[in-house]
Amino acid sequence: MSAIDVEKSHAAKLRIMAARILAQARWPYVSTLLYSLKLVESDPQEIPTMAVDTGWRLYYSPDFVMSESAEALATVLLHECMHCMFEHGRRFEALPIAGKRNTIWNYAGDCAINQVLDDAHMPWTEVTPVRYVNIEHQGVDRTMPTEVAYSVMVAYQLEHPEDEQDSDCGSVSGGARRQYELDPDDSDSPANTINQQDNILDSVSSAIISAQNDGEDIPDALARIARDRLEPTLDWKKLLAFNLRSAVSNVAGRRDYTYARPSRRQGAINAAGLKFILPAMRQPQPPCVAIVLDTSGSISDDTLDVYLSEIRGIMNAVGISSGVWVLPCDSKVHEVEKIRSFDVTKVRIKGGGGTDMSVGIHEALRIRPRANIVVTLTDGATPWPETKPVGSIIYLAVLTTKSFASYVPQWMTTVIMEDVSV
Amino acid sequence: MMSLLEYEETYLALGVCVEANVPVILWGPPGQGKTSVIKALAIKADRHLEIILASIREPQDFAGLPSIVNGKMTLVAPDWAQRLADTNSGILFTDEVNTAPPSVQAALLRVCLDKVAGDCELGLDTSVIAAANPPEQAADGWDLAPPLANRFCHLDWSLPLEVVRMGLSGQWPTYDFQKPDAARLARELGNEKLKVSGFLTSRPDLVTALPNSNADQGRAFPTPRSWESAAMLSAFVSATGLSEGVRRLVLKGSVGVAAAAEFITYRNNMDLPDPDQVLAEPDKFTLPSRADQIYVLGAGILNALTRDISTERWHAAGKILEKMVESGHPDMAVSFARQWLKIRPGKETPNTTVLQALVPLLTEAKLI
Repeated sequence: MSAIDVEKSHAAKLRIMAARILAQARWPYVSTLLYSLKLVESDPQEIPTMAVDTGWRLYYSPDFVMSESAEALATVLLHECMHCMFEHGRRFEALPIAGKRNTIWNYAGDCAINQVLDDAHMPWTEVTPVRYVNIEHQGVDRTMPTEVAYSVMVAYQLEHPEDEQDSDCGSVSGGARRQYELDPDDSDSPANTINQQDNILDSVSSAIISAQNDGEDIPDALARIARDRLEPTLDWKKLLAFNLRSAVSNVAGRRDYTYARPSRRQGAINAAGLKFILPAMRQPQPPCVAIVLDTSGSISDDTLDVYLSEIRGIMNAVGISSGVWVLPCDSKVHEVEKIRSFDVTKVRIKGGGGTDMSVGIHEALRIRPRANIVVTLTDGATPWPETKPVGSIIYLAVLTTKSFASYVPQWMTTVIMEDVSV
Repeated sequence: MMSLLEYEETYLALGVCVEANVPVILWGPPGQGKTSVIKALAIKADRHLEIILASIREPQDFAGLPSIVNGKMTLVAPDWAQRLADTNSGILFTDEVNTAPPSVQAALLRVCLDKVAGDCELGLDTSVIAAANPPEQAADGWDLAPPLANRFCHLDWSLPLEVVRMGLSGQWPTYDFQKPDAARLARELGNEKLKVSGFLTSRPDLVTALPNSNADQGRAFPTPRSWESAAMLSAFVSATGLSEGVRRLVLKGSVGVAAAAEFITYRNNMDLPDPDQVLAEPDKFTLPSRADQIYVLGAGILNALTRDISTERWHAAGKILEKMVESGHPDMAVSFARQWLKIRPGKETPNTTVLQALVPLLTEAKLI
């Protein structure tokens, strides 16, 4: 190395470290991850800007670093951190598709990441970052999970091979080992093992959650990643279907056993001179489902459409051919009617006033034959019955707004409808 | 889908649970080779295996069939229980437990906990394995009742493509599992229990934390019992020299993801020196090698300093920052130094050596 190169190398290292200090100050909760990245200077011929490998070693071109401000480089560092946090590498490997193209995947991931950085109003480099704007014409929508965006982009590129969109942030976001990567056991900069990475991601996630609990403003995507990691939740649609099914089979009781009554076969056992006691089966009864539908002024038409399609979903999931009772309710119950799956859209929706779902729930209890399952679809901004009504009825509350979940009485099973996107 | 490495770790975690005699439940869609793997494990360990489909059983198949003999009621155990009792150290594999009705699950409790079916004792060395389909895939799933769920170590199970490929070409991969040396295991178990109790002393809210949502109740959550299983399994991992990834799986499987993640962080950082000790004798101390550990230690030292500040301790912290610079983490040192400079006692000025180390970066970041 010539003296000039040594000087440049030193200056570049100083600048990227300065960038790391600024990045840490912006998002202190990612500190352990940020400082675990091992800085490796690379040949600008191989890496024009920056890249990270699966062992979390950050390769940078000194030319690129010296051409940007520390402020802008801090944004790039946080960008690379998010590849690690979003586990783009692992998710790329997990795609159950043949012939995967990591450059397209990386592009989709970059858009998601840069959206987070843009939302946080971070300064950018001279090199223009890739954004959703660049791929919207391909049919990618910014609410799509990266997996979906990727498949949309791949489909588009099959038809428009000339319109190639690719970018590469290194093997951290998937694909084979790159040529410039150091050996995993490199003596100066050994790779972070998968297990160390998991530990670091765990501690970053809990730092994010505790920062959020302390009232700090955390980007939604980060908070979601952290919660997914430490408090994984099921998809609400699956949860709703599952809860309904178990509610229905609980009511139908078609497969449970009881010693509370003698078995119908007991006589035969006794007559044969045997001394066994058999359990009886619980007698099945076709379930009757009542749905209380929030039609108050706070519910938009779009939300109502979602509710209606959920009612259809409920009937499919449960397999109730006899139909379900629907009770449109704002502060009072409007026309109660029994509907079948194909005429969901014919539900006459009346309402638009105040909200009181407890009225609807009490009305549902007056339906004859009695309802066994009462499902309430609401945004959650409603009074609930103060005490559990008498009778062994199963109550499900399906909410569109998570923040109201804590008001739902304990004796109801709560399912939160969430937008599914990362 | 899992990666090959995750599959290997899950396989080994299953082996640990079976050997450590902690009931284990495998969650996964049907057709993932769960039964074959368990058969292979049983053959390798030379143990008798009984496979039972819980969803088509009745409660009396586990609790025993009530029968009146000489005016007294006895609970007659089914033949599989008798066979396990005869071998005394067999493996019981119950498939599809979450599609079994609640009364059958309740009957299973006693089998898993006390190793007793009806009036027949299976022997305490009998290992219990269960398998279940995830709620969203269960045809007519019941929740796994929390008391039953809490007795199991929960492992997610699926087959990665590589394994399927190897299997189709005739060789399903198996992984070797060493039996631990008894003395070593006892020692590790002692250590591990100390770690768990140390952790729970600082986080008493995690001794028992019942999950809120119904679906979570069917999985792992912390209770004194599941912490005990966690300690046992973690000791097994240490005693057999298995990877940290396996430890992570068995801990998550026993006490749940959130509690396990905190415990693992605590466990990793407990080897770090006490911040007050470091501030008392900064010269005697060497930094850990990993950057994330240096960071945790640095944050701990700054906390300790803020709590109890004196000129001496403040300068001691300055020495630690110097060490960070020397070990190749000047940027981390600056991050800490910004807070450190804010809390300086009186008009104290940092030593020139510290300043020399920090100033170039502070200038570059335009912070001074």
